Amino acid sequence: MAMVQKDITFNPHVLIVPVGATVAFPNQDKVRHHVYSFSKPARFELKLFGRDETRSYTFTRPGAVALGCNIHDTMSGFIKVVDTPFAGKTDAAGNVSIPSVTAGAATLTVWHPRLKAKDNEASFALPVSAIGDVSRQLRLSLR
Amino acid sequence: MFIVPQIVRAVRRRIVGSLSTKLTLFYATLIAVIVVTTLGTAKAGISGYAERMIRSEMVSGAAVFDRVITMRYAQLGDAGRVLAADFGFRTAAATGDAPTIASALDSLRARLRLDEAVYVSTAGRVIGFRSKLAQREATALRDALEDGSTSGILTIGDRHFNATAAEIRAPVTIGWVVFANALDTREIARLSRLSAINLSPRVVPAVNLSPSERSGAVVERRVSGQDMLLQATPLATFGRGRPQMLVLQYSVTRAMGDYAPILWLLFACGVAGTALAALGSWLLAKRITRPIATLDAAARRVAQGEYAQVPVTTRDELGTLAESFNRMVDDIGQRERQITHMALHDGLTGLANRALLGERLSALSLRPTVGRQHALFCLDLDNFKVVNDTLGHPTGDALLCEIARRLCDVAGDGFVARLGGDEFALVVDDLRFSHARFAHELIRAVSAPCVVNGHRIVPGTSVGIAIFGPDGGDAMTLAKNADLALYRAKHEGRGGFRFFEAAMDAEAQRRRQMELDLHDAIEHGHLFLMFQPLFNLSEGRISAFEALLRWQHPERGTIPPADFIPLAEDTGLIVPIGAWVIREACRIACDWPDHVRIAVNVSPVQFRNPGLSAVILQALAESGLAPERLELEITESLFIDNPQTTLASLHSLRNLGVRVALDDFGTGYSSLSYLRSFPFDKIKIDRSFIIDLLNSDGATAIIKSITTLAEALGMETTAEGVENAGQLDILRAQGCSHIQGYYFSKPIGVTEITALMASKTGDEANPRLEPTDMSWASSTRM
Repeated sequence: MAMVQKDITFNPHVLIVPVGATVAFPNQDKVRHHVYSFSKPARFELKLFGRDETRSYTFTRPGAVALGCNIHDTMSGFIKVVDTPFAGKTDAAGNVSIPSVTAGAATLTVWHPRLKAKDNEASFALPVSAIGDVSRQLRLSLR
Repeated sequence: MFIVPQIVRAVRRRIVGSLSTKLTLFYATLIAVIVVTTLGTAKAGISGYAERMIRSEMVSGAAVFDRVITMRYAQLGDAGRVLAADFGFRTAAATGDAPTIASALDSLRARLRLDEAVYVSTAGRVIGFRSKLAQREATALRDALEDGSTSGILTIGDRHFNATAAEIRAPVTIGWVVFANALDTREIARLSRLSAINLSPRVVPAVNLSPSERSGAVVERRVSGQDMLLQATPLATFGRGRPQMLVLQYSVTRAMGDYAPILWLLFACGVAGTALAALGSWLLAKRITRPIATLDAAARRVAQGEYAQVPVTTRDELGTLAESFNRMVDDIGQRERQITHMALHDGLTGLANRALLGERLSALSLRPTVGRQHALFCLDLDNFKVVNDTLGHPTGDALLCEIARRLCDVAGDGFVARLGGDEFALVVDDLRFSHARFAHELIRAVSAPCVVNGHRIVPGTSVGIAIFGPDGGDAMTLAKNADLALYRAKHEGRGGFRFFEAAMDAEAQRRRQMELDLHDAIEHGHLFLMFQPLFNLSEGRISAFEALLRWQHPERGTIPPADFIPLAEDTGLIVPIGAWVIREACRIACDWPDHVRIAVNVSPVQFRNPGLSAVILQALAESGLAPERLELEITESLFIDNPQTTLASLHSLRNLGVRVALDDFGTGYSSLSYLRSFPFDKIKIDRSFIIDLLNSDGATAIIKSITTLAEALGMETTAEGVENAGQLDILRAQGCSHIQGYYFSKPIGVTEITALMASKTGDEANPRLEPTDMSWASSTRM
């Protein structure tokens, strides 16, 4: 998995990884980048000064990690470290489908960088039946 | 106590009424009005200017404050953004390193001289605020920041701050840096120093202001007795705090107070100007009125009869007026002298008149002269009336002028006056001649023949003289006495002179008294008639009685006709007396037998009176007497003055039917011509012829010729004053038809007439011989 810096943008903007995953930060721009994170799950700095230079970082704690570039204030990216296999990223319309979830009582947690909630997360109880799909529509407010 | 208001009134009238005061008041008022108008305009102008100035200052002040505040916000914001972007500070903020954050804020606040430099986390934690901050206020601040507030007025408690906020992103927003400066009195003072005038800027909650004030326009307000101009501009508010406004205000009253010295100076100048104008116009008016007052004083003196002239000092209208005044005074003086001259002088001869003579005599009486004796000479011309009537008035006037010239020559330094008509008077002393000598000289000078207007005239005069002192000490007495002397001189024959004597005065007094008494006598019945019969020799009976007037004076007894008839003729009393005689005679005669007539004497004065015919007609009508029984006796003297008029009058009398007899025939200017021109009924032969009858043969011849003439003309003859038988015999022998006289009868009273007629009728051959009363000679018939 990789969080690429290209055209002075983090790509993808949001990347979901499991705990323990190592993410590469390749610099595909001609300019230098200084990626940092002050987020609690992972505080680090990666000085990517060369073209095509790649650094990597292993995320050991779940949580949301906000990425910035100390050189380019406008660059913003997020890595969501999750401790469950049932996670997914919505499309632009906000739809996501998570397959093969074990039946039983489950908790649905929604994260968005500008969600108006503590740690930008909102959790919902979600009973999962053994047979068939569970469909749920949620209304959330953003900053 | 009543005087004071009068004085006040008089003074007020004098002050208010005088021209100087009017002029002064007028100009002072005019200047005062100008000053007041100027002051008013200046005040209004200054006030308008001040207000405009304040308004403009307010608008620009508001703009400046806005600009300054904006600039402050920009500075604060820049500083905040620099801090918020600092990686170290972001690291501290992201890791919640409060001591580091606080120390960073402290150092920055000190460096930038900020009042407050605060960190606010998204969680609402506030670090760095130097005073107490309530949780509610902290949350409100966080909410405001989350709402995106970046600058504006931040109100915490009762304090206002200019505040700016900068977001801290890592890269998500983790908090804000807020920089704030207190909007306290110090800051306000700094702001107010930015404008030229102190606009007293202050921050006021918008809710405390009225809608008109909130509109942002400059409004006028009256605050604690002062006119204020006030402008409110909205201020950006930090967050959802109450809207605040910046209020600027300035006192117009105080601004006007700044101009007060100018206005007071103007006022003082105005007062001084008014006083100067008043003083100036007063002085000018005085310059104008002083000559007027001089003229006024001079006019008063002229009015009092003095001669006054006004000095001409200027060449303006007043100078011209003064010149005219002087000329007028001169002209008036000249006319007065002319009038005085005319009043005191005779216009024809230029001599002094009676009035001036009176003054001269009065002056003499006031300062008697020593060693000299003044005398008043009165004179008039003989027959001057004849000169006027025959030669005309121009010649008469020329003669008077000639006489005046002669009198002046004779008088020397004496005083000559014309009293009127042909009367002259002279006042002369006896230094040169004695008074008698002077009188001679006077008569000689006047009497010299002269040629006037081609006519040779020989004037004549008589002179009366009264000596000043003995003959009178005052003008009136002296003039009267000189007149009396003149009267006597004329009486004694023309061409003479007489000095006044006291007897003359007594005589005059007596005449005057008699005149008064005679006047009374008519009214009181003191006059009565006596009758003397006329005897007809051929018929041998009484044919008529002649009425004779008598006066029984209550004190002096019987007064002879010779004493009072001339007086009555002189005074004109003869006219009413004569009328009474005619009426009385007719009344008495109407009782007599028809053949007895009544004869009445008519005096020349009475004859010339136009009322005579009316008197006769009335007497005849009243008594019923037949006209032919009334016989009027007239004298020859009537024919001397104006024969033609006399003849006309005689004919008109004859037309009345009365008889006319010619009395006193043979005396005076007897002329046979008027016997021919008027058919008298009777001729009465004067007694002077009868007296001579027995002594002179010539007298008999005259009687003879008269009776022959009368008989030829168909007239009767009566011989008057027959006193004895001898006369009677001659008269009868010479053909005289009637006789009258004491031989036959003296005048008798009314009561005796009847008896007399009874005894005389038919006794013609032997008339009774009464003793002759010799007083007859002194009685004058009338």
